[in-house]
Amino acid sequence: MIFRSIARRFSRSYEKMSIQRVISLTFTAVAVVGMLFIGLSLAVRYSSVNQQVQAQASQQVLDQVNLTLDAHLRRMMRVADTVYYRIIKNADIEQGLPNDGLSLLYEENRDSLVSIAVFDAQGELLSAAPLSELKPGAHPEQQSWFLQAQNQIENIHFSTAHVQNLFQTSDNSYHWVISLSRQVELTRGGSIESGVLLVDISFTGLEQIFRNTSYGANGYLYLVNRNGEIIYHPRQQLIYAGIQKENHERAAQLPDGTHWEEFEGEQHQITVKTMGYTGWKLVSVVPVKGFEVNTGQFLLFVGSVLLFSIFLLVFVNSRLSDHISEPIRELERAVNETGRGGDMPELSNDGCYEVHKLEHSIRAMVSTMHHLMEDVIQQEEDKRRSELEVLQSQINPHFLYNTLDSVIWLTESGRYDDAISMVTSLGRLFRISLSKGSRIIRLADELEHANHYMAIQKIRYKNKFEFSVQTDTPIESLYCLKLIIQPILENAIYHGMAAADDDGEIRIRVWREEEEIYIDVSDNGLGMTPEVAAGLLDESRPVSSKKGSGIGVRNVHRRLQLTFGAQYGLTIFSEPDEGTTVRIHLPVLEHPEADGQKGAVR
Amino acid sequence: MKKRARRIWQLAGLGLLGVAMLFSLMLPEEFLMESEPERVEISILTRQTDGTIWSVARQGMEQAAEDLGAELRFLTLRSPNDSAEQLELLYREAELHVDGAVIVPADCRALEECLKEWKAFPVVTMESRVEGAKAFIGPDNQQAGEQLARQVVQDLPSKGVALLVRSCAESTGVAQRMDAAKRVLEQAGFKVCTAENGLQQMTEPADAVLCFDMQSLFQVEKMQGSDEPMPRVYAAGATSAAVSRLETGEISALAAWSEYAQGYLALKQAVCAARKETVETCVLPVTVVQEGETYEPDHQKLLYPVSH
Repeated sequence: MIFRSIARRFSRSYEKMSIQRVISLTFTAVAVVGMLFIGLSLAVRYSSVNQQVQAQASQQVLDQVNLTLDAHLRRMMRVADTVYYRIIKNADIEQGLPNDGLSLLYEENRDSLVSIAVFDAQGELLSAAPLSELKPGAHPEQQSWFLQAQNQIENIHFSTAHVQNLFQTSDNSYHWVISLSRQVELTRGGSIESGVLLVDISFTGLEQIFRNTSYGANGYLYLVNRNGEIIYHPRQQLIYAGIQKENHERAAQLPDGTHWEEFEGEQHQITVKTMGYTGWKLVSVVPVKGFEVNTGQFLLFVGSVLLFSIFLLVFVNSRLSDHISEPIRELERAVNETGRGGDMPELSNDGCYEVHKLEHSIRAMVSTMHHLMEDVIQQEEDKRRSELEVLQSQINPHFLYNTLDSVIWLTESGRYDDAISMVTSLGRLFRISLSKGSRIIRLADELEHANHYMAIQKIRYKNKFEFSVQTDTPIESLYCLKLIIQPILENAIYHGMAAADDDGEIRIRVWREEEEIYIDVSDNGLGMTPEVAAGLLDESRPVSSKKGSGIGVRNVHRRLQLTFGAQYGLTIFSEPDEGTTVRIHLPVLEHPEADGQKGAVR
Repeated sequence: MKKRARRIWQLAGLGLLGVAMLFSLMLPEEFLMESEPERVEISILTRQTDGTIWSVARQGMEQAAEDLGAELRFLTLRSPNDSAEQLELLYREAELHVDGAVIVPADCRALEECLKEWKAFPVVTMESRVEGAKAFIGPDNQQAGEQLARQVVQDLPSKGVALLVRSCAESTGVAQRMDAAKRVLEQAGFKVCTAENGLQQMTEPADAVLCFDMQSLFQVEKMQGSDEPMPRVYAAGATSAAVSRLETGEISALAAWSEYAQGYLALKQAVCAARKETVETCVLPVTVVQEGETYEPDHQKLLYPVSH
């Protein structure tokens, strides 16, 4: 619903928008969407790469620490092996273990060792370095490292970090150690018995390995055993004191690789590596905050570039669309000016091909429109003139004067019947001429009108010619344009019959061919050359107001064409001394109002 | 005209965005990082002459100083529990414009009086709560006294004489421990004797001696003659000296709490107060560790701090 409303509103706005704005907005929208897509893709990619780089860095650091730590532990294992194979194996404990060997080994590794000690199966101290006096309450045989060595004799065991509580010290000092223990075979008086070798690895030495490892800001490494107990942590005591928490138990369950976790409300990237022999796990922790800074800066940069680019696009698109649309606007102004009646002004040549093409098309259209308008005006003028001429012909004063003169003469000469007939025909003639103002009258009326006209003229011309009407088709239902035959008859009388010697003949023949009506008005007068005949209908021929100048014929021709089209009108067939035939060609009209029908009246 | 104005605005905006972009390019990385807080100077005033009593707490303080960016000034008194000297030191520190102090009050009432008008820097107390201090970091003193007394009751079912010793009568924290222990012991049928201001001489042979601060423990050690039967000694506090005595059996049980945590949290609260951040009082849980239990894994973590 809301979407439709927005779409409607947009559609309304779009209708009112200028082409410049449409182009500008479209370009900008498309470009911004593209840029946002690219920008977001880059940001996501950058973030992903950043995380991968961080994970790789963590992995590399872990590998490095693993190598160092592994080397350290192997060194301790070699110390244990040395004690076992060089000292214990070669000695009989009945005679005592040589303490100087242990002391020498201790001195060689004192940066990594707290003590080396050998116990018999009952936990009795056989030899130790550097201290050799057990604390009164010390019970080695009860301690976990001792029990593990006794229970799993084939392995070397490493304990978690703990406080060494075996040897008496003068200053009540204590040491955090990691105990390496293994079962050893002791020789006592020639017989073999079990014992335990203990190498206490200095926690400080272990710590040093981690301290020497440089790690990114806020990131740290720690070491846990399989059960998740912390062996080393840079903030070990804070964890022991409950001030800080670490998710070490879960980390111990994680497989090697990079993981993500949320702990204590913070996102961490955790990378885990399991150490070979001990099964201890090195864990690196990098708070996401640590590399968010760079991401934030990158996003700020992307945002800034995006904003700058958007504005640049808006600006450039605005200028570009202005440049593209200006010729169109100029064209619009020109069309408006043309619409107000002026000529179409010349346009600058700034526009592109389509605009030029459009301009030419509009210019051609305007020109055509002007011509058509001129034609229409001309036609209207012609129509008006024709109608005027028809009107004039309806009340031709000369004809009326002559006819009335003839009536007077007939009356004076006592030919009352002829006079009556003439006046009757005149009356009838005028009634049909008027036809209540209709332009279209029945064809029968038009022929009757011709008959009355010819009746009057025959009296006037003392029957110098014969007149006949032949209809080859039923004409009762047909209509035609008013007063189209009479001007032709008039012309035939003046040109064809004036010089006749009572043998003149004027014939009217009407016939129909499909939807066309033909009316031939033929006389057997002097005739004329085809050129003269053609010239009668020539519009360019100068118009003469002289009686019988042929203007009536031309007027009929024009009226027919104006009313029914150029294919209709008159055709004159004439040969000198052969007579003349004027053929009226018009469409079949079966109704007085023929608009919208075949043979429509224009 | 309108068109021109619009173009000018467009150009101005464009320029502004250009400057913003350049600015973002030149932006130093630190800009988006939380700036390093200013280093603060915190004075630590104990009521003892011997700084080793607080050595474990000091480790915690040093760790906190490293974490939070603080400089530490450890100050001890010329004579133990000298309240006047402690206050004098406090005023001197104010003149030196330190940013905060952690105090183990020698005289809680005197310090309270002092803090009523005190505006120089925030003060955090350890061992005893003092009105006017920003926070208190220390054990639940009453719980410490009660637990220690219950241990005595458990160890000596035949009852007897219990001597309760404290070296500083003006320390309310120590007094709270002592009062709580006295109440439990009396209820259990012990005859209770008290030495409120240190032990000058053993007036009566006792079956159990309860020392509620480290100084009183040292005094008791001095009083013990070699020919007399040794009474069972109980102490409150987990200093390294006390732990070593527990290990050797000189002490039967300790009411212990994490001295390391106490030091760390005290300094943290002092730094927070100096930086005008939220501070909170932290009361640490008390655990009774008996002779022979010091190396149990949990007790190791409590009594033997891992020093880095």
